[in-house]
Amino acid sequence: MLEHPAQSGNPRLGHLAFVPLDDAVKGNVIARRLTERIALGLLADGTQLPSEADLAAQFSVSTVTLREALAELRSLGLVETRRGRGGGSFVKAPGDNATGLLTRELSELSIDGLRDLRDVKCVVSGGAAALAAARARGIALPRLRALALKVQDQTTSAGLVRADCRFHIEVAAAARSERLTQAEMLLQLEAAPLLWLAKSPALTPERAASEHLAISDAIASGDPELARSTAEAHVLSAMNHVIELRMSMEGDPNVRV
Amino acid sequence: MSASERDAVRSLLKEVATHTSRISAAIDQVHETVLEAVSSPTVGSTGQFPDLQESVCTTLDTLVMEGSPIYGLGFIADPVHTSSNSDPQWWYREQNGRGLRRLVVGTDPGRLDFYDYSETPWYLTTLNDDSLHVTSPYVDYCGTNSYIVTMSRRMQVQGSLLGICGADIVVGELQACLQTHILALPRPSSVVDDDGAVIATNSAEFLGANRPLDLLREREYPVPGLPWRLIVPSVRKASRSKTAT
Repeated sequence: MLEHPAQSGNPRLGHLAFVPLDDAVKGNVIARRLTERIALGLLADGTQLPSEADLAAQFSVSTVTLREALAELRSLGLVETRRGRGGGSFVKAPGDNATGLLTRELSELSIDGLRDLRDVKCVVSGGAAALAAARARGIALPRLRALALKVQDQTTSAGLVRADCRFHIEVAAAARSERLTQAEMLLQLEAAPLLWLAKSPALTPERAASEHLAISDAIASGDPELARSTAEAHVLSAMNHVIELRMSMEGDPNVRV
Repeated sequence: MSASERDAVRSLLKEVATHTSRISAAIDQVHETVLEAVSSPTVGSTGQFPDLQESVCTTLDTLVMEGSPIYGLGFIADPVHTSSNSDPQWWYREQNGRGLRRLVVGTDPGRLDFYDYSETPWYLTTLNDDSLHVTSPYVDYCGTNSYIVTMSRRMQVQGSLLGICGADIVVGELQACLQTHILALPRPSSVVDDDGAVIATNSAEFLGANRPLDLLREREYPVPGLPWRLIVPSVRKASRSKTAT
């Protein structure tokens, strides 16, 4: 099952690595989320994590559950815990091992969970683009266009994920909805790491940039239906590659043999 | 136009002007505080900006007590003019409760939460002159993630830019402040900015949307001090519903 972050609260972009989870979700989800962020370089090498008590509070889990998650990260070599003054948990960048870690993360997601993520992402990104086409004016438009192209200038996976997230979140913000922007942030942070992991010839930075550009042009032309269908097609083709990559892997956590 | 309508227009414009002039006075106060400190020989020579926490929080508290739709207030040093304490000195109200919180934004360009304010609408529009500017409504997803407008003013010393002073206003709260006045006007009446974005309205259809102009059928009243206008349909009975865009 994919995680379903609790929609309560008002997460800001900077806090998304620590968005509260609902109670049923266990430490392995926390471990997975932190693993993704670290593998992508979104949590940089040497970053000190908040204290165990603070982290547990932010994720809304008990400290016992949180310690299990940190132990998992330590065993993967992604977190280092130092004792004493100035101690705490620190992020350790995985270096060349990042892709392997993300592949492992993908293999732990179910095919139907990915399909569901794709469907929701399609609705949210398509709807956001349509509203943005109806509403965005003025300097929001050239800004969107500039962000659309940024993905092709990236040389690292972290850069690709960032540029990709930025564009889609900006589209949702141009729709003038706080909740739509939050929904897009959460979906984007789940989907984007997987997309850029896939390294599919069908999903190159150049292709993403040209699809982003088509979305931003449709928004600028004030055509909601064109914006919606362009955004939906973009999400579909990208997510379908992730799903097919997952299909090519063995096992499914939802199927007990 | 009936007398009651004229009264409603007048009281609405007065209400907008009261709120925005209080907020712009607060921005001017921040402006003065920073300017005074950087111009003084003792503080100015250190290249540091003064600590604004006390004065900004006091001003914010007072405004909030008065029922102001203000959300945040402060000063942001220009990225070029960096010094040891050049983090944004910006405070905002917490969503629940009355506490104030200092805005923390991502300062690392390599991170997802990097707040590149040199690309934000409030920064870009403020640079050209000394006047008070106001953005169109936007979702501040790198900062407080609220739907706001930002009023801002640049700060220059001897021709060089030091930073921007400004304040955020929650669009929904401004709508709430104006509600009783705007409900007394014929539908659909709206306060719009110069891009046609609706700031407050008595019609759900136009909430969050843009207002198409129909100059033959509408009257416009400028909002003093801001590039906003109140638009009121002139033919009450025959007013056709226009589609929001």
